[in-house]
Amino acid sequence: MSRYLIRRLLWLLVTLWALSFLVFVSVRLIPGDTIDLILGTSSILAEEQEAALRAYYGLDKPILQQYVVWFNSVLHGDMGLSIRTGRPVMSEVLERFPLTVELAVVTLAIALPVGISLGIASALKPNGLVDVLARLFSLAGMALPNFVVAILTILILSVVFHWFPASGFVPFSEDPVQNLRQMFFPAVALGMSMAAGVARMTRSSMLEVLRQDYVRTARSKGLKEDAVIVRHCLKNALIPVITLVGIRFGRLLGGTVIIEQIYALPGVGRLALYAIYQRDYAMVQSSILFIALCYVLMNLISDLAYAFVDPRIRYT
Amino acid sequence: MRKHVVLLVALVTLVSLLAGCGPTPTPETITKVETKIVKEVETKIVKEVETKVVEKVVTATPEPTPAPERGGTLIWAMVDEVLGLDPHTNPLHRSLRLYELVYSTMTRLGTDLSVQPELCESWEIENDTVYTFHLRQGVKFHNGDELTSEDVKFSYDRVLDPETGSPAKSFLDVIDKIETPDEYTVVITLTGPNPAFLINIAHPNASIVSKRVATEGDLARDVVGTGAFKLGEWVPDSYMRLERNPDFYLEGLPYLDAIEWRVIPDQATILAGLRTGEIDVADLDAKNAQLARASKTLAVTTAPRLTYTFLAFNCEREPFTDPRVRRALSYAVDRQATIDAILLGEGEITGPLPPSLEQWALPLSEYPNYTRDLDQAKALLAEAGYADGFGFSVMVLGDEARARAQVLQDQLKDIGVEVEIEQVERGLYIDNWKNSNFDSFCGGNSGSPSPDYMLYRTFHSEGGTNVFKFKNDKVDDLLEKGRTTVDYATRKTYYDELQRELVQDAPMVWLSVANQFRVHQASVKGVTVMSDTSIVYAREMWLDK
Repeated sequence: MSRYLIRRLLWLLVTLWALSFLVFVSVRLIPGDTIDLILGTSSILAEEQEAALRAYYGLDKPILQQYVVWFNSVLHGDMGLSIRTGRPVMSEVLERFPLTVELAVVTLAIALPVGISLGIASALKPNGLVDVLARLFSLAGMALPNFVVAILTILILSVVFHWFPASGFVPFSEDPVQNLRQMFFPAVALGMSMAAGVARMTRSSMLEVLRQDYVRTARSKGLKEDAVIVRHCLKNALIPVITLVGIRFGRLLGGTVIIEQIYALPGVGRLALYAIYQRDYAMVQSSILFIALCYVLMNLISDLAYAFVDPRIRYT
Repeated sequence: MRKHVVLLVALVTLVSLLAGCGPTPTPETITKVETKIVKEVETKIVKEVETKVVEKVVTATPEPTPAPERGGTLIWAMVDEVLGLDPHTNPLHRSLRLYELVYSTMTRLGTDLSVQPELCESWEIENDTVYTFHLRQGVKFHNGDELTSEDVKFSYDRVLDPETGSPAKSFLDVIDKIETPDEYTVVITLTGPNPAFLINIAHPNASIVSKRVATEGDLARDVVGTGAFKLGEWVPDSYMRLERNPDFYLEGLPYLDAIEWRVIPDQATILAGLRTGEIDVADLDAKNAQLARASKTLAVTTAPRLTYTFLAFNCEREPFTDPRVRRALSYAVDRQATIDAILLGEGEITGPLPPSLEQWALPLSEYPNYTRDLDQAKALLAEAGYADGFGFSVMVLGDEARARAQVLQDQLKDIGVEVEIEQVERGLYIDNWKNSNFDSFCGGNSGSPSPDYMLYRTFHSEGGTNVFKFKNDKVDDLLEKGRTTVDYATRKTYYDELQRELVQDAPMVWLSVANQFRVHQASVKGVTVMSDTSIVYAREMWLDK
C-alpha cells in the first residue's frame, strides 16, 4: 500500500510540473500581455516607456527563460507577486480558499442527504411515483449546467418566497448567520446540480445491491426491512457514490467560476479567471496549480477511501 | 403507470409555469416622471479655460445643502475593480476613481467643468507660459507629513520620467522646467502656450504623491495621499474600504465615516441589493436604471456623459482608404436609432465634440452627413467604385458594443454593405487595437472638457491613440493651432473648421453620448454626477438617517 501511495504522489508531482509548464507557456501566447491590459485603449506609450515597463516585469525575456526564472523562485518558496495588488500570490489564493471550502462543504451538506435519500427511495420502489420524479430530477439536474440551475434557483426562490441572494462574503467566524445566508443560494444551486448525479448513482447502485443473495439471506433471517437496508445494503451501495462525490468535491474545491460570478463570491475560481483576463501571470500560474492540486489530491483521497471501504480492493 | 404519467406531466407543466411567470421588466411602460430626484446636475456651460493674465482665483469652498449629517458608511457597488494602486501608471477609469478620493491634484474640475484650485490656492500666468502656483499650507499626507512644493515637483518629474511608463506623460510633456523657490510655491515653465494645461493637471494620473513614500516605499503598495479618504482595507475581488481622513484640508469634509466599494459583476444582482437596502449607491446602465425608477425607495440621478461612442475605420485598409466610402457610411447610418435601441432613448447624437461642451461643439445641423440620406450614400459608393456594395468586419468588446454594431449592421444593409461582427476577449481586443489589426471597430472614448484632449491624440497623424492611421494635413494643422492658441475667439474658429473637416473626412462615424445613471437610496444625499465620470465629489455625500 505504501508503495502505491509513493507512486501516486510521485505522479502527482509530475502532473503538476507538466501542468505548470503548459499553463505558463499558453497564457503567454495569448494576445495581449500585462502592460496592454493595464493601459487598455486609453493610451499607447512611447516605445521607451513600454520597453521600460516590460523590462520591469521581466516580460522582455524569451518564454523559456522566464519559465526557468519562475521555476527557480518557486523552488525557493517564492510564487511571485500579483501585478494588481503587489501582494504574494499564494497568500491571495489561500485567503480565498476558506470560502471555497465552505461552499463545497455546504454544497455537500445539501447534495448528499437530498441525493442519497432520493436514490434510496427510488430504488426501493422502482417505477413508482417517487422513482419517476427522481429520475426526471436527475436527468434535468445533470443535463442543465450548474449556472442555469443557479439562475433558476434565484428565480424560483425570489418569485415564490421573495428571498434575494445576499452578496459579498463574511467569514463564518465573524458572523455565522450572515455567512450562512450568503452561502445558501449558491450552495442550493450547486447542491441541486450535484444531488442529481448522486441520486442517479445511488439508485442504480442500490438496485444492484438489493438483488444480491446476501440481502435475500438477511430478509429470510427475519430482519426488519429498515435494518436490512441500513445495515447491509447502504454501506455497499455507497461505494461508487464515494468515488463520485470525491471527484465532485475536488472540482468544487477548484472553485466554480460562473457561480462565483453570479453570486459575487470572491472565491478561487474567480481569482483565476480575473487573473487570466488581466494577464496577471504569476497569479494565473499559482491559482491554476492550486486548483489542480486540490483536484488531484481529492482524487487520491477518494481512491484510498475506496480501498478502505471495500475490503475486496487492495492496491499494490 | 398511466396515472403516474398524467401526474408527471401536470407537475412539469406547473414547474414551467412557475419558472415562466417571473417579474417581467416593462421598460417601455414606465413613465419617466422622476419623483425622488435628489439633485439633478446639468453640465452645460464650460467656462473659459484659459486664464489670461494675473487674476487671482479664489479658493472654492463646498456649499453644503441643508445641514448634512455626519457619519455612516456608504456601501457602493461596482461592477469592476481597481486594477492597481500607483496613481501615475494606471489610466483606466476603474482605477482613477480610487485616486480621485485618496490623492489630490493641483487643480480640479468644478461641477460645471470649469477649472478650480484644489491643492493650490491660486495661480498667476505670465506670457502664457510661466505658471506660478501658490500651494495651500498645512496640507497633510495620510502619514502626517506636510505636502510641500518638493512633492509637487517630484510627482510631475516622476510622470515625465520614461521609466515610470506613465500615460499622463503625453499631457505633461509640455512642461519645460519646474522650480520650487519656496515650500509653498511651484513655478512651472511650459515649452509654449498650452491652454489645456490647467485642465490636464486635474487628471488623476497627475496626482501629487509623497516624495518620501515613493522613494522609501513602493507606490504600487503604499497608498499615502492627501485625499478626503484613506485606503483602509482592500480584499481584492471583494471590497475596498475607504476611511475618512480627519486631517483633510477642506474643513468639515468628508461627511461620511467610510465608503465601502463592493465588487459585484452582475448588474441584476446589484439592483436586487439596492432594492433590499443592502447597497446604497451604484452606477447602472439605462435598462437597469429604468427598472430602478419603478421602485419607490430608489432615486436616480443622471447627467450626460462626455464619453462618446463611434464606429472607427482603419484608414489604411481598403476600401476605407477612400474618404468617399467613409463618408457614404456616415450618410447611411441612423444615429438616433442606435440611441433608441441601445440607450433606450437616454442619450444624444454627437459630433466630434459632445453637445454638452456648449462652448465648442458645433450644432449638428452643420454636418450634412448627419441626415440619413441613402441616395447620397449609394452615389458616393458608386463614385468610389463600390456600386455593388462591399463587406467588412467590425471588432467589438463587450455586449453593448456588440448590440450597437448589430444595429449598424442592419442599417448598412440598406446600401448593400455587409458587416461581419467579431466580438473578442479584452486582451485580444487591446492587442488588435494597438497593432491596428482590424477593418473597423465599434467602441467608446472618454471625453474631457478640453477639446484638445478629445481630438489631438486620436486624430493627429502622430497622435498617441491614432490607431486607425488617419492622416489629414489640414486636420493636423488645425489641431496644432488649436493646441497653442490662447485667445478663445481665434481658437474657436480653428476648432469649428476642425469639426467640419473631421466629419467630412469621416475617419469615424460619431454616434452618441449617453447619460450616466447613479441609482441610490433616497437617504443618500449630496449625489453629484459629473460628465467626465469623476467621483471626486463623493466627499460631499452624506447619509440622511
